[in-house]
Amino acid sequence: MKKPAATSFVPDRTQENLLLFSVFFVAAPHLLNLGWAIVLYFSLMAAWRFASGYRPALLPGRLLLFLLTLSGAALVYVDYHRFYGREAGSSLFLVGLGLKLMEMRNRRDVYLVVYLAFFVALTQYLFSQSIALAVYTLAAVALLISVLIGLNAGPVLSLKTQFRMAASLVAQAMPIMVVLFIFFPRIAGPLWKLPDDPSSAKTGLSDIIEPGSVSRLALSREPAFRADFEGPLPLPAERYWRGPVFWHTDGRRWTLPPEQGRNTVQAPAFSGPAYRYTITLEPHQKRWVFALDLPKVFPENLAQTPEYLLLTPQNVGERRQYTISSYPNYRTGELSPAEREQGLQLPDRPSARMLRLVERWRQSSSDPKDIVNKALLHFREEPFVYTLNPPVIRDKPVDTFLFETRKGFCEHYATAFVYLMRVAGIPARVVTGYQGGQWNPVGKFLEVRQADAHAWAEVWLSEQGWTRVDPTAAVAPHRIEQGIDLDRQMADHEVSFSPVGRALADAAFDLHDWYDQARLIWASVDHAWNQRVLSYNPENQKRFWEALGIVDWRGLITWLTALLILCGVLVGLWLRPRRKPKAADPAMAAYNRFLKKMAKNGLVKQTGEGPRDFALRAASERPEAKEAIGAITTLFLRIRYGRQADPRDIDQLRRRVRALRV
Amino acid sequence: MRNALNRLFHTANTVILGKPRQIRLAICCLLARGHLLIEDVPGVGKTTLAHTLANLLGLKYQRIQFTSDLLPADIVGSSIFDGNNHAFHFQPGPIFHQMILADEINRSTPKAQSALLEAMEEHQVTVEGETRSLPEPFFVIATQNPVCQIGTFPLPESQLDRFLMRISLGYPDSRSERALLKGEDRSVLLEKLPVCLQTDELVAIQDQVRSIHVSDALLDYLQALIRFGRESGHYECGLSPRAGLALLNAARAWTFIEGREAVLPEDVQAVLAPVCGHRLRPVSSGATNADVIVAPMLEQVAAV
Repeated sequence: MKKPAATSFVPDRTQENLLLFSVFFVAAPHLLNLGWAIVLYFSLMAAWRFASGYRPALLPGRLLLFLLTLSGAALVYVDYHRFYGREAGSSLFLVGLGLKLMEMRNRRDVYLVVYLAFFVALTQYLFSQSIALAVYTLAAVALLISVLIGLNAGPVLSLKTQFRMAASLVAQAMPIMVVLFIFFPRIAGPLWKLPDDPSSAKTGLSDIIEPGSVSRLALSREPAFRADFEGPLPLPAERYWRGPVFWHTDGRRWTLPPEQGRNTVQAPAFSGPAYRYTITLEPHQKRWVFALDLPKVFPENLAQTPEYLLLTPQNVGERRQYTISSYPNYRTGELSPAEREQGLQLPDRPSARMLRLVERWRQSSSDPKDIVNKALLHFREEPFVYTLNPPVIRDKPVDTFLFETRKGFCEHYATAFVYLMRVAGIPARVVTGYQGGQWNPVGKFLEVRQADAHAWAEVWLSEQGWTRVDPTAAVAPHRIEQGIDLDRQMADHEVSFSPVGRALADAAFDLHDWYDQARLIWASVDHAWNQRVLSYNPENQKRFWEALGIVDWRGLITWLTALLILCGVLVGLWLRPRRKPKAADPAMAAYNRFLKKMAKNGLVKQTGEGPRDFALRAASERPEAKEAIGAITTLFLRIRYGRQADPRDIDQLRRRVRALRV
Repeated sequence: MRNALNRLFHTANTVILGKPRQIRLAICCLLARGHLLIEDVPGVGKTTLAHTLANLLGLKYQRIQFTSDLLPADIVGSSIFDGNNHAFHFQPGPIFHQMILADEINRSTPKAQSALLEAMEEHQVTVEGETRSLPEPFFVIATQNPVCQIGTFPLPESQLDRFLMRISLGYPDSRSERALLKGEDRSVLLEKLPVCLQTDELVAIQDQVRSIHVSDALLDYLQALIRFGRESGHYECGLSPRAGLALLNAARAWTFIEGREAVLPEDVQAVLAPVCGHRLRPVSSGATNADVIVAPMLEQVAAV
């Protein structure tokens, strides 16, 4: 039997084009991660290879290839100024893959290209770990495997068969993947320690406030965190998620106090009902953990600042979960002299008109509470506008904002309000964080997005302690009650409030819009993915193992062995010969015994190999058994294919098979 | 008779150098009473092979060059008015020979092709209402250029089916080519060829071939092959019953040439590519190489 010679490395054009398509498919998601120049370079290489499939003369020579290599490396360096790190490293891989396509000459090169492509697929997880990418990678892996199948099978398989085989291989690998995922010991922290890339800063609140620091988040759909509540939800107007608190201002910027030498935390007096919830915090490269005003019970590994902000020991670089209890009713204690001084700090002398305004409030009442209400009334009655695009103010930002432009986002209102309170002699500070959140009726959790970033004020009143005052609510009460309608805002860059948000906030779920519904379902799937898959860290693994009754390595081994046996049995059942070759024929039975004996010695008869061809091959590999093999085969052939079988032949065949020693 | 057959192979191999497998298949085809199609580029010795076989077998030989203006009458003959007898007199065409070389059959129009193909199937021609038998043995060797060449009318599948085998010669290896370049002129060589097998001997062998034993086990294998061709999804349409018969006859002839008395799976495998290569069209690739086309069949159908 002759096999077609497999001399050319890619059996035909179809296979080569399949390879190019797969490689391109694998690399495509990097368009989102890497500089466009790198992706363009790679696409150019792939297109070049595609064209030279039809005109081999187009393939670059050694010199040109060398120049291409240099230019690829230069491109990476120009983009990232280095060759290591997440972006630069991945780019280098992509460039290498493109270049390898250019010098794909023999079978080994094709294997190298495929393995490089597998690696490029892996680098994408350094950028994103979403479900979409996971599904995409599965498809990419299946494609690459189909390339390997085509490479090994030669031109005898149809593309459809190739794809089917690859898909079934991937499907068979999935259970093993799941078992390994669950049982392979997890490593604390990320698998690869990557140098921090300044270019890859996450969106989120920043540690200074200046005009624009919150509003730049207002268009971001990125989730900041998600909260699963045990029990009832707080009202929308109570959903203030506390972030960093600012005391000090230079008139334009507000900055955080230094970490050292802080006062100890004064525990507030809590009353009323509590909310208990679990926060799934997205990585934001800061230490802050956002909690509802004010948190009382929180995990031990968190610290609390005197401003009641929760802090993690290190920056949050990956998704984390915390279970927290908060009380919306609280009363904080006395103010220390140092705090009072900080709470009244002003960078310069207030302007005359500001002093006049505050003096007017002070004359009507001396009660700080009344002054606060007067100030809120001022914001409500004067023509203030809540907008994402406030005019840029060069100097005296507070004064100009209050008396001239009167257009601003929440950070303008919060800072201006605190400034006015301090002028009036009431200790005040700016609090940033998130306000609101969208109820997801599918996954039953509250999703808070970056667009919900907010800034508000706290004033110190002698009978209540620190009290939250939100001047934005006075100007634009809808902001607090409904949240921002991102879709409309994207379109016209003006602040719109979503009616859907209110419906959801009341948990009266009545969506007519399938788009919103699809988005909600997707968010809840994503949340489940985050909670179940991405947060599967050593602690969660341990908890899961304990639920299965695995407390030590012996239990683990028992489980693994049981699972392996189960898999083995299932695969065995699946692979068992559907139709056993019927051996009612005694000659056939004897011959099968002969084949079994030979197979034990590494001589396996191929499916399509005739008995005579097999005998010739076996005899040439085992010259010492040549005579026996020849005799057995001759007898068998005579009985099975001959004109009339001699009844003595079958006995002789059986004897010779029994006597065979190989 | 066995000696005569061996001498036939030996002598043919001295004329057509380096192609023992093709010569063996061509003679196998002849012994199985089938017609042979040789597909190859011009100049690799298709005509020489046909001429050699005719001379070695002592058969009356005629060559028909197929061109685009060839008419059926040019093949089967026509009636000519005889002035002396005042009657029409049938002038037999070149088809009335024992061995016909139909050169470049795909250069002519389907009309002329069909005249030849009818004769091949029926071993008789009907001209002006009168049926005339063709001489026995009757053997057609047709050559055709690769279908992609310009000015060809590819034979439809139904007519390809009439040929028992399709083989291609291919270029000789360098040693054979050197021997060819150094050796005697082929046309001179052809004229000197002795007759190795008399016509009555040939007919006797053809009868013996028919009586080669075929066991049920072998028929199982043969049917498994045919079923694979129809059901595996590798091919656009499966093998016809005629193809199955052709495969069986060719395998019998091959067994005879091998000098055995009963057909083995290996004999079927040996003739599978030339017999089925032109009858199957793979679904995926446009492969035309017969070995490649039947490879899945050979590999995946259990041969015991």
